[in-house]
Amino acid sequence: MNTKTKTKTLLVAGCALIATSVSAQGLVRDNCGCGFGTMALGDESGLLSHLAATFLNGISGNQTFGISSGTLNCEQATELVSVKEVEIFVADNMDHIAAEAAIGEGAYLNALADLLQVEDTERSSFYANLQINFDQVFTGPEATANDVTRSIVDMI
Amino acid sequence: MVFLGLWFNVRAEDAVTAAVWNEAEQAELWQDPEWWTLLHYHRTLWGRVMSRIDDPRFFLDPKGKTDPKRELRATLEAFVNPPPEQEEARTIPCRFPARRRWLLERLDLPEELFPGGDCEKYLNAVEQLEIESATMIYPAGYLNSPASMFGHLLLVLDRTGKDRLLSRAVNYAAVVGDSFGPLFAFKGIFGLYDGVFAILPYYDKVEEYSAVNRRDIWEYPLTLTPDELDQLLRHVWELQELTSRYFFFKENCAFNLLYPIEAARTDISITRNFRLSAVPVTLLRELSQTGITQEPIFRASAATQMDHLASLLTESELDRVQDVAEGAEPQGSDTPVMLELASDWVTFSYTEREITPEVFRERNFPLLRERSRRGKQDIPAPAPPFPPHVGHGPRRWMPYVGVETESGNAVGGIRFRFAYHDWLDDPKGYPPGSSITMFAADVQHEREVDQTTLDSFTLVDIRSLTPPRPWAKPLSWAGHLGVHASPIDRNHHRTEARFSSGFTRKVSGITAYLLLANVVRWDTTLEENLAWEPGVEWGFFTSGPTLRAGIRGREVWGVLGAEGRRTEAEAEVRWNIHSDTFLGAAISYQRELHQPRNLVMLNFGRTF
Repeated sequence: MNTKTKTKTLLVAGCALIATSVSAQGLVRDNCGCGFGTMALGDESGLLSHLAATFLNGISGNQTFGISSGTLNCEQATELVSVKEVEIFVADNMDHIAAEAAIGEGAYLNALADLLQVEDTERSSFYANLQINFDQVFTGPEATANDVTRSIVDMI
Repeated sequence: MVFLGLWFNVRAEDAVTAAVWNEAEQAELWQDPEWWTLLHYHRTLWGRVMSRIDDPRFFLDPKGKTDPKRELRATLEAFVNPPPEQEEARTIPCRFPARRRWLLERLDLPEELFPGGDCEKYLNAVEQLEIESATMIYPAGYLNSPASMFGHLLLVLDRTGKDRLLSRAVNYAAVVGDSFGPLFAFKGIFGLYDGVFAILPYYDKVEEYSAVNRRDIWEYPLTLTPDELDQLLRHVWELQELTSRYFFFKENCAFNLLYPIEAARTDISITRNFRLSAVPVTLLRELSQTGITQEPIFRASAATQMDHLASLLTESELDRVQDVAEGAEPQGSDTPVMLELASDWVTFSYTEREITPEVFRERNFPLLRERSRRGKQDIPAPAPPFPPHVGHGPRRWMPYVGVETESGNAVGGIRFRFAYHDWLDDPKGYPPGSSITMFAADVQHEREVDQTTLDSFTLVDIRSLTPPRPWAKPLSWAGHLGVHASPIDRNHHRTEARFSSGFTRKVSGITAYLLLANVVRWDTTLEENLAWEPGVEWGFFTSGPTLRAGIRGREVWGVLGAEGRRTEAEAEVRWNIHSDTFLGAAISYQRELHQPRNLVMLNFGRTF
């Protein structure tokens, strides 16, 4: 099995799992987008909702409001099949990735490097490149996950 | 001929079934604890055997939910002589891969006895998902939500050579359609929701807990052998998409996740013991005592990270950060820490829905761009606090002796609490400023009058005392529902519901709070049986690992249905002699209709 087909199958499995998770959730992230601002939002704040939440959490110890995958509404760049999982990851975590790219380190960058199979010895220069080329990778407030993924893949 | 051949064939399989069953019967295999784990059997309070799974698809015998023996027989039959199935996913080996493995190993059977082989679909999925190990995840309690200290547990499946963010989270949750809070609570408590296992990217859960709810996350890698991991996955596979009633108290998220762990590590038996409740943090503690968990890894929440960055800055720098977070242009004089905090602050405002996505992007982007230009900086990470599994037990016995100073009568009594953490309990492993008591009773004996009475019964008492941050000004609040003996007539009891809200300050380790109180008292000595008494609640306390002390009080005035002023105040000191044992001294003062009742007490507390 070559890498390309393997990634594809993996993706199919991943999608099936995501679909399961979505059907299990009652609510869907309402600000789903493909660029910055995909971060999930909090519940309405206020005393009553705190009380209700407290009561519920106390009893269930569980947060049930769901956050679906941000990729479902996003168009995929079809020619980049082999970096599909990277793209999903970037689309879902764009805010965190940008924040860590600006700092030059972090768990999200590490995960990204894992997905891109960056060698351990290359990691620090990969992070440094992301930081130095921040403007090229994240071109502006309206940058989309597809653009960002493409720039990162091109950069390696 | 064809008919005869078919007939003989069937007979042969029946003979095999009989032989296998004979062996199972001799071993009394249906009583094996491991069989009980795989089927989620437990004994109810009335001694009946019952599976906690409700979905009929989980059982091969129509009476399988309540009859381990019949279910075992039906299972063996189905494996030896599988019913024809069109879809691969619905074949017996694919529906019950864990049962298959267990039966083959336990009865030492050759694999050929179970036609169709192992589930290819399962084997492929495991290979493709690249699962290497499993980790238990515990999102800690968060500020301003005392009840969240009960915690939550989820299981993640870690992938070979991939950061844990890319792991798959196995989450057990209720399928909820209602967004109306009280209805949600009602249905949850009475088990009217279906709970399902769902698998989703762990980073989604991290986002939910760490960024949105601002809960720190503790990750406990499990010490599983490859064989144990395989059986864990097989059982998760069996449970996927099945439903079982979702009871918040007992069959919650955490509890159901224990089954795959117990299927893997068969000497753990937390689920089979009878229990009244299954609070996640208690389960975590029990689990950590079995040795299946490794030292936890701390993942700081967005809130913890912000507190940490803020602690590195001066007041004027914080003011500047606020300006930048509110839209001022970042400048060359802004330090990397300031820029990082400002970006977190903007993100916080966004997740709190204080700003729109457009504003968030326009403010955050220049901050990140500016930060990227400063290069790499060595900013230390926040130090992890005490992990939750080392915290004190939620239940508590607290005997005490003392004297009522007005009459000089000796008193003695005992307090019992079912859960969870009060203002002067050992703060280790618990979220600061939060306390919650559920089901607590105080029985008191007064010697000279030879009278034993229920001094109080607390159904629930919650306190959320969160000092403000520059970016968030949460309201402090307290709620209480309980029955209390009158200080004047010790045999008279009345019910009180209280709700208070106000503010908290924390200065050099001392927490101070002032709340406006509302008390509704149901009392048969009152003309209308009911009174509304507004007032104030106040307190100061400090809590360290060995010594804790505090003073607090409440003053309410009868406005509707009652007259006069009622005062209650108490001061207490506790000294830990062991992590679960403390000695204490307390003074309590009550005054009602100008009659005081004062107690001076020495107490001993043991949590478990």
